[in-house]
Amino acid sequence: MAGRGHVDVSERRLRPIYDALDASNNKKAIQEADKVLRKQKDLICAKALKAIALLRSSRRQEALLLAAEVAAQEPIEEATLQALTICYREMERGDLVARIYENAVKKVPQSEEFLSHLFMAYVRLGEYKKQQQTGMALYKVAPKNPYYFWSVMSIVMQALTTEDEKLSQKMFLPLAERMVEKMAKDTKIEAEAEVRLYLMILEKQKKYQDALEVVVGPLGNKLISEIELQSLKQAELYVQLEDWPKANAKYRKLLLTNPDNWLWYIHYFNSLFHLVDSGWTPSEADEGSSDDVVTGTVDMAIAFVEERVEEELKNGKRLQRGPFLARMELLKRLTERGNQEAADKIGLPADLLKDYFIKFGDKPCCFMDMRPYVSMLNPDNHAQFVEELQTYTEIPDEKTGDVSLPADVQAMQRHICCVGLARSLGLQEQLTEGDREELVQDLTRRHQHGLQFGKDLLPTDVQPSDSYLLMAVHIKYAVYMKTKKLGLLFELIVMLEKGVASSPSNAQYKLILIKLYILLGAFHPCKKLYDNMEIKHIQQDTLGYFYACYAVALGHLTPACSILSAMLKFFSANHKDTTEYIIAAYKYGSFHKIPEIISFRERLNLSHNYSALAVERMILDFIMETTNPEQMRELLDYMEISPEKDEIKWDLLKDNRDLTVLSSWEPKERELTDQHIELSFCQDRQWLRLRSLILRSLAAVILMSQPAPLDGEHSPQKQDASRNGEAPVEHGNTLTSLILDINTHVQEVEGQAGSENMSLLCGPPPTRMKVYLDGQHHVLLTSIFQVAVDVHSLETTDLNQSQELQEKIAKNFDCILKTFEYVLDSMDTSIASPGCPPQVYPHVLEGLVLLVETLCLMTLVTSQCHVMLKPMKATLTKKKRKKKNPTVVVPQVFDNFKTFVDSLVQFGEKLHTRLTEVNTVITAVDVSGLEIDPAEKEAISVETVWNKVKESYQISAGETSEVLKQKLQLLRTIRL
Amino acid sequence: MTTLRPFTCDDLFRFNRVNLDPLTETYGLPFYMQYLARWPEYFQVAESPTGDIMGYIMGKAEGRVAQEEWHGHVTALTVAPEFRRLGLAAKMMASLEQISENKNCYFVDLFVRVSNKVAVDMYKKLGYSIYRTVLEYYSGDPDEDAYDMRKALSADVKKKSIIPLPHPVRPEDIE
Repeated sequence: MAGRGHVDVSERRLRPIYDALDASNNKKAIQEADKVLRKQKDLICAKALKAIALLRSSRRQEALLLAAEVAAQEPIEEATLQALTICYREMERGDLVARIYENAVKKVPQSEEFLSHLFMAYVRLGEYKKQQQTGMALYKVAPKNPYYFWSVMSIVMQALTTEDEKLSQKMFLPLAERMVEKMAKDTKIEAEAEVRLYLMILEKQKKYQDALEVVVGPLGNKLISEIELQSLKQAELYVQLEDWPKANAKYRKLLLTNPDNWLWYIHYFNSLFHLVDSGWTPSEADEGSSDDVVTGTVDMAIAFVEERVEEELKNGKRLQRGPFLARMELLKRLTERGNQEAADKIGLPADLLKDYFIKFGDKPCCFMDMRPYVSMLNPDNHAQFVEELQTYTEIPDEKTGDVSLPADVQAMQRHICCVGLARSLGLQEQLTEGDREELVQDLTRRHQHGLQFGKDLLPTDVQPSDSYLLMAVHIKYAVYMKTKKLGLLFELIVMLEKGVASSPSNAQYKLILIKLYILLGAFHPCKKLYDNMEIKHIQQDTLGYFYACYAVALGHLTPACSILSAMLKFFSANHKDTTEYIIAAYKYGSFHKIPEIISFRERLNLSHNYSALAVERMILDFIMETTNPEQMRELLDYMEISPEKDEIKWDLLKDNRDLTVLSSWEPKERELTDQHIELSFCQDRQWLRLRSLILRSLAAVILMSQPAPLDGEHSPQKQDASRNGEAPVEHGNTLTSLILDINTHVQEVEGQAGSENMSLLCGPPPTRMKVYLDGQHHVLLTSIFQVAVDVHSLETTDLNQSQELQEKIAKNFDCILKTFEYVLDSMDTSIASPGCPPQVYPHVLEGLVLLVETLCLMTLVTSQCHVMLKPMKATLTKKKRKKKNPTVVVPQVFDNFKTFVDSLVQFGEKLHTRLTEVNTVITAVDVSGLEIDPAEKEAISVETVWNKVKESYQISAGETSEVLKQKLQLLRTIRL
Repeated sequence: MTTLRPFTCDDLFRFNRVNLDPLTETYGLPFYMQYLARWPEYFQVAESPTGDIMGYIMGKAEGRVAQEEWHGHVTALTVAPEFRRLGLAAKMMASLEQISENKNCYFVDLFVRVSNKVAVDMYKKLGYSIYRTVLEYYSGDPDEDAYDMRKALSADVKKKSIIPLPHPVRPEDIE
């Protein structure tokens, strides 16, 4: 063993390497490490540090080798182990971290430290069985409770993750239970976390009675971290046990302590009706005022709720909504059960609602509170009901009899609530066009008037009168839904832009604005709006659907790259980010959070958005970043796409969009329903499937024409795998079946026509599928993919015997050119036309963008075909020269290919002209020529909105024509 | 009407109405995860009858017991605009204080922008007082000072923890 002095020397020698690494000077770190190693060969820590520096200088392969060299010596000094851990973790090779600690533990089995590192390494890997064993080994070395329970929790994780329910119920959970029981018997349970784990184990086995005994027993007294945890647990378990009298009494008692807790009322009512249905009758014990009184009859419950109301009124403090809402809930439930007699005892729905309105109408949430209960009213009385409510808000002007504007913010809130109710009850549906416009005007006027009530607010606050404007927007948008007049969108945008000017923090405004601009085909203004809301991190997953995919769809390709990569960064960091905290949860004994965090990590990983963004990003990269076949191959290697393997777990994909973010006052027929959401998610998945098939097909083409693996910096694992005796993949076959998949998929989608997306204001946006299929892009792409397959087959066929194949290729060329011409012609409509506001045709823009994309993809495939054809031609020419035999005929395919490329170039040029025209047309349409009185010119007007739209279209045209130009250059260089 | 319950990971998918408020920061995942893993009881969410998230409070317990510095800390407290003026913040604060009481904390503290008068007044109403000013605590353009506000809990019998400091401090001087 080295003496202490030796350690100090090593430490001193290593210091410069650490310093260089800390300063991110990897080159220096490598030099310093080499210097140390020249002096002291056996100082392997220097090697481990050098490996880190190599890795960080993108020399992964060398780093891996050097680290393996260190690991092979099975080090046990802390510094070396630490350095190796860092190195492997940065390589995302957590498995190797586990290996080095396994070896260290073998050498020093009594080391608490190594064992605990090993445990955490297994946690990172999700190796629950090994976690369990390591936890026990730890407990043996150092008999501390946490270690024991780490092991127990690891068994629970095995139970939760096994697909074999029987194994879970018959083996893992009973085992975990026995382990905890043993500790309980020896009265060794110390911490609350341990009790909660015990309860988790019992509940997972549905042993609610046993769990209850734990909760009410001495161990239950440890449940103190959350308020009322012990009581709450008891109440929950009574519900699970369907012990309704006890559940009822428990929730009743909880409500006495806090009469505002909604969940408790719900459980209280549920238990009540179970008791009523089972014919429960009170015994003497329930008559008194004891704490555990059961209120199991309707009359008792009514009395209880009325008491809560009375108490609340007596309280003198700010009223809590709980008792009043609970009273309406009870009334609703009784009515639904047909118990009119009892319902009448509480009162008439209209009276209760009015009472609620009088008490809480000045709160912004009043509308939301009342909405579930207005359904109790007779539809015939809706109008009258709202009118009556209005009488509480409006004071007619004594002189004129006109209804005046509200005098204070409270009166205004009440009025807002009334308008919201009127809208959601459908009272505005029958209005004539004139009346509707008048209503919009009135709401706009009230919005303006109401701004005075918020003039002292900070700019970070939302203006209380904003709801007026939002409701006006909803009303107008509903008209747009019916008429599809784009002019309305301009008006709506003007309204909302003005709204933002007066209430800059209102996110509702901005989100709707984004939606409307996109309906107009204008992406550019959205970016600023989105950034302004500081939507980031997890919100990219939940709110990204508002805008991310439109950057691509509307041809703002450069911003699209950065938007997509920023979003993808969030997803790819998720695994590392969350795993650290699973470890923390073990350390701090938050066992109940461990399954939660793990499924959260999974939900993000399986997010549909994640896959969709990744696929779009990769397609975009091919289009933007590659100008020759070699680059395509490099890019593909970097992306690690394998065409034969579908990496997307379709059945497990999660819809993480937050579709509740926008306020809505819409009547039932325009309410966003679960069916809408499901349908839209299904369409999203169909779109993703199409896109991912196209991407994989492209990958297959590249691998087909350039089969030799590249120097494997990027994908050592992949190479390992192929060396391990896997049969080489025939990419031609893969591509053939992918083409088949695309065709089948398109047929399926086309067969489901008629399920149009309603494009509700608060609803999910539609996909690009319709524009795509209308534009025949799938036909263009599958045909060119088929050409690639057939050209690939030519490689292995005698050219003179391949007449049939050549004809097939020629036919596909022909099909592509004809289709392309047809599509281009069909889009020969103007992108905009003058008017007030001017007309724009966003679908024309979308179609053009897609056509550019498809032409780019076809160019890439064509260039790969060229790679395959070129050697064939060369061999032929050689043969010709060698034999000096003029009878060798040049096969038709070469000529056909040339003609095809030439025609494609011509079409590309035409498309390019179209894009230039977009620019000209859009610039020519100028609203300044319209007769707008200069005096009426406002800071925000149709004109200013038009200018934004115009600018955005110009960018779309500019960016797409740039990309197109670049690809045309590539096409022009293709010469056989 | 509120259901106050522990915040769960899945709530992160639904808290947009609250977090779109410009003064409510949306943090990276590690920040939330750290609280959920270490102080799950201190991270509470208020839910409306319709299941919407009305607001949430995030906090922790920290500090040395020996120095009587063991205390509850409010990291974030926020309520969606449509659920303001219902006394929700007060309820969530009371819950955090109760949890801190159960842990025998000496006091509860929090930081607030000096410009956020509404919040400062609200905390004062809830029994908090300004313990010290922390200079340029909030980065931005320009940086903004914070009040470190405190409320003594029953463990601090003599209310020593809330005696105001005479001088402002720099962010690097606070623990």
